[in-house]
Amino acid sequence: MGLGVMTRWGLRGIFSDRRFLLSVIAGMLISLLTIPLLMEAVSHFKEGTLLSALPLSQKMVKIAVVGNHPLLSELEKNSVVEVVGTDEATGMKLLEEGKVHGVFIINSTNGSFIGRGIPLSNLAESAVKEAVDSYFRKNEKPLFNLKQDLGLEELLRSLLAPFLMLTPLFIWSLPIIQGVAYERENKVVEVLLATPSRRFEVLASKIISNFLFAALLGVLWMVLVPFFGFHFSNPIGVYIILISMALLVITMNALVSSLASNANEATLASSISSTIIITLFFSIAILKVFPATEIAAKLSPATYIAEQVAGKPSPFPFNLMIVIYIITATAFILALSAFSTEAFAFAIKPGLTQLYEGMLEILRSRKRAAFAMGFVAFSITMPLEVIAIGLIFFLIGPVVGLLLLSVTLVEEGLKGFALRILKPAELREGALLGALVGFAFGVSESLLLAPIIEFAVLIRVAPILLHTLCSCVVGIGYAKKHFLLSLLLAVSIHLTYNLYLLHFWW
Amino acid sequence: MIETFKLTKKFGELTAVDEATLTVKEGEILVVVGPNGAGKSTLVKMLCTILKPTSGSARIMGFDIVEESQKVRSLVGYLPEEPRVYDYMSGEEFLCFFSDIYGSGRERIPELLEFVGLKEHAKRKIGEYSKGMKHRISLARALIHNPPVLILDEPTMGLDPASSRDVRERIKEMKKEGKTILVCTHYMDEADFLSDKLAVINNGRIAAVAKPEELKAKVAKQRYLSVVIKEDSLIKKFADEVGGKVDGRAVLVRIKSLNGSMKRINAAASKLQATILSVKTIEPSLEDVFVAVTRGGRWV
Repeated sequence: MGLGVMTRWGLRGIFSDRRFLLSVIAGMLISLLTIPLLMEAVSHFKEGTLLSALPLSQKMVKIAVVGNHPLLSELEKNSVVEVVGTDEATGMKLLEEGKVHGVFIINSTNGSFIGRGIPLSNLAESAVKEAVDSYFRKNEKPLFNLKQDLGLEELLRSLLAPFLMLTPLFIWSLPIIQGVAYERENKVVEVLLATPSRRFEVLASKIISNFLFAALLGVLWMVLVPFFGFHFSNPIGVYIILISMALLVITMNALVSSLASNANEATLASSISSTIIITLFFSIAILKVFPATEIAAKLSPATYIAEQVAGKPSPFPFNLMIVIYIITATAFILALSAFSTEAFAFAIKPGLTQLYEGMLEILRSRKRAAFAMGFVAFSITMPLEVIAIGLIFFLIGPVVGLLLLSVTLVEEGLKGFALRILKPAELREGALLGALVGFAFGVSESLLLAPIIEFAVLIRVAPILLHTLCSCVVGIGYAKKHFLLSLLLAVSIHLTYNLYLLHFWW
Repeated sequence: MIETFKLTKKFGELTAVDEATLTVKEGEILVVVGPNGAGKSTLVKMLCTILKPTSGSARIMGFDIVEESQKVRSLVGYLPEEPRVYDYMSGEEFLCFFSDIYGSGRERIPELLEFVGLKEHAKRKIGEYSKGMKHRISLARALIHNPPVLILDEPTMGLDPASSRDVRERIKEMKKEGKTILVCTHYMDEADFLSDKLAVINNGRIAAVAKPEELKAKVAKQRYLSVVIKEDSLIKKFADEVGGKVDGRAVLVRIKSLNGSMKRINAAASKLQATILSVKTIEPSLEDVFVAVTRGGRWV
C-alpha cells in the first residue's frame, strides 16, 4: 500500500511545483524549435567522409565487383579497399567462402551491395557508399539510384536526430533529485523511514512517480515532434525506447542522489551521469562503422531512432531494451543499497563498503550479495568496454589482439574488484563467492548476447563456466592473499579462451 | 512498553550508545537527559528502527526492533529533533500524506489540528509556518496513527517559551490518554515537568535511572549553605575561614552536619567581626543531579 500512496503523492508533489513545470515545457519548446534549424544546418555539410577520417592504412577490405561503371575508379582510390573484378557467380562463391568482404554488382543505372553477415562487410559497404557519394559530388547529375545522403552528412543526421529526441530526458528526470537528495539533505527521509513503509517502497515510489511524469511528457513530446520535422515509421517503438531511456536516466539519478551529500552535489552529479549515459549510447552508434562493433551499434537507441527518422522500417530493438533494463536494474540495486545504509539516513557520504553493507542489508546473505555483484559488475563492464574499444580503435587501430585483451582486462578486473569488496576470508569462501560472482556475470552476458548473435543458448554454457572458473580462481587468490597473481591467471585463461574462440569463428 | 537490554551502537571505533538498559512502563513518561553528543538521538533512532543496534536488544510493546521492525514502526510515533516537513504541502496535506502511508484514515486530522492549535492554518503551506508551528505540525504527524508509544527527541528545541509550554502540556495530555512516552531533552526544567522517571545518559552510557525525587535525594547529600555577610571586603577571608567558596555575593559552605556547619560559620563571623545577613540551604535541582551524574560517572 505504501508504494501506491507514496507514488501518488510523489506525482502530486511534482505537479504542484508550477515553476518547475513551466521550465520543463519551456525547455521542450526550445528543443522542438532547434530541430528544424539544426537539421537544416546539417544538410549543408558536404565536405569530408567518415571513412577517410579513420586511421586505416592497409588494404584490409576485399570487394568483388561485377560489372563496370565510372564510379569504380573512386572505389579503387580507397586506401583500405582491394577491388577484384569478377562475374556474379564467382563473386558470390568468394563471398560464401569468406575470401571477399562484399560483392558490388553494378551497371549503368543500378547498383547493389551484398555482404551482410561477413566480418568487415560493414566497412566494405561504407567504402562502396563513399565511392558513390564521391562520384556524385564530381558529377552533378544523379544518374545512379543509390542514396546520396551518405558519409559525414548521414553521420551527423543520424546522431543529431536521436540526440534532439533524447534531449528532454535531462529535464524530465530532475524530480528524482528533489525526491532523494533534497529529502535527505532536509532529513525528511528520516520520518519516512520511521513509518511502516519499506526502504524499497520509499525509493521505488520516487522513481515510479518520476517515471510516470516522464512517460506523460513523452506522449506530449511524441505528439509535437512531427510538427517540427521528425516522422517515424513506428512512433510507438520510438516512444518505448524514449521512456525506457527516461527510466534509466531517472534510476541513475536516484543512484547519484543517494550517494551525493546534498541536492546541489546531486544536481551536478546527475547532469554528469546523464551526459555519460547518453554519450555512451551515442558512441556505440558511431561505432556502427566498425565491423567488429556492428553488434554493439544495434544496442544504441541512436541507431534505432536515426533509422526511424530516415524512414527505414527497422525491427523493434528488443536487445537494446534488454541492455537498458539490465543497466536500470543495476542502478536500482546500487541506489537501494546506498539508500539502505545508515550513512544515508545520517546524511554522510556512503563509500563503496557502505554500498556493499546496504546490499547485504537488502539481500541478507553474502552469497546473494556476491551474485548481485556479479550482475552489477557486468552492467558496469558494458560502458567500460565501449570506452576501451573506442580508445583502441581511434588511438591504435583495429588490432584484434589488443581489443580482446582490453575486453578481458575490463571483465576480469571488475569481477576482481567485486571480490575485493566481498573480502572472502578463507579458501572455501573465496571459491564459493568467486564462483557466484562469475556465474552471475556469465548469465547476464548470455542473457544479453545470446539473442544478438543468435547462438543457441547451450553454446553460452561455455562462457558461463569460463566466467565462473576465472572468478573462482580470483576468489581463492584473494583468500590466500595472492590477489594480483590470481587475477593475472584469470586474465590469461580468459584471453586464451577468447583467442581460441576468435580462431574458431574466423 | 519499551524495554532495552544492553542496547549498543557503534560507528566504527566510536561507541555512541553503550549497553543501555531501560524500561518504560505503559502510560509512563521516561525522560532521557544528557549533554550534546551523549547518545540520546542514536538511542532514539535505534528504537524507531532507523538505525540497527550493533548488539543488545530492545522490544516495544513486546516486538523486537530488529526482527519485527515493521510492526514496531506502526506502533511508534516519532518526533525528530528538528521538524522534518515538506514545505510545499499545506499542514492538512502533510497530515493526509502520512495518514495515507499509515493507512490510518483521515478522520483524526481535524482533531489533531485542533490539538496542536493549527486549525486556522491548516490550508497554509508549511513553508510559510514559523518554527514553532512546524514543530507542532510535526507533533500532529507523529500522532496521526494514534500510536500507543511516542518517542520524542528534543520536542521543544529552539521554540519560544510559549510554544515550549504548549508542547509540554500536549505531552502531559498524551500521558493521560495512556500513551507510553520516551522524551529526550537537555532542558532540565522540561525534564522536571514531564518525567515520571529520569535517565541520565553520558558518553553513551546510562549513568542513572530513577524517579526525579530519588535522584534529587541522592544529590541532597551534598547540600550547601549559602551565607551572605554585610562586609563585601571580607567575603574571601570568610570563605577561607569556613572552608567554603565564593559564589557572587554569597559564600557556599558544604553541609557535613548542619550543626557543625553553623558553628563554623558563627565562629568565622566572630573572628572576622563580620555581620551575617542571611543563611539558607540550597535545595538540589535536576540540574544539580545532571551535573553530579555527568561529572561523577555511572551512578545507577
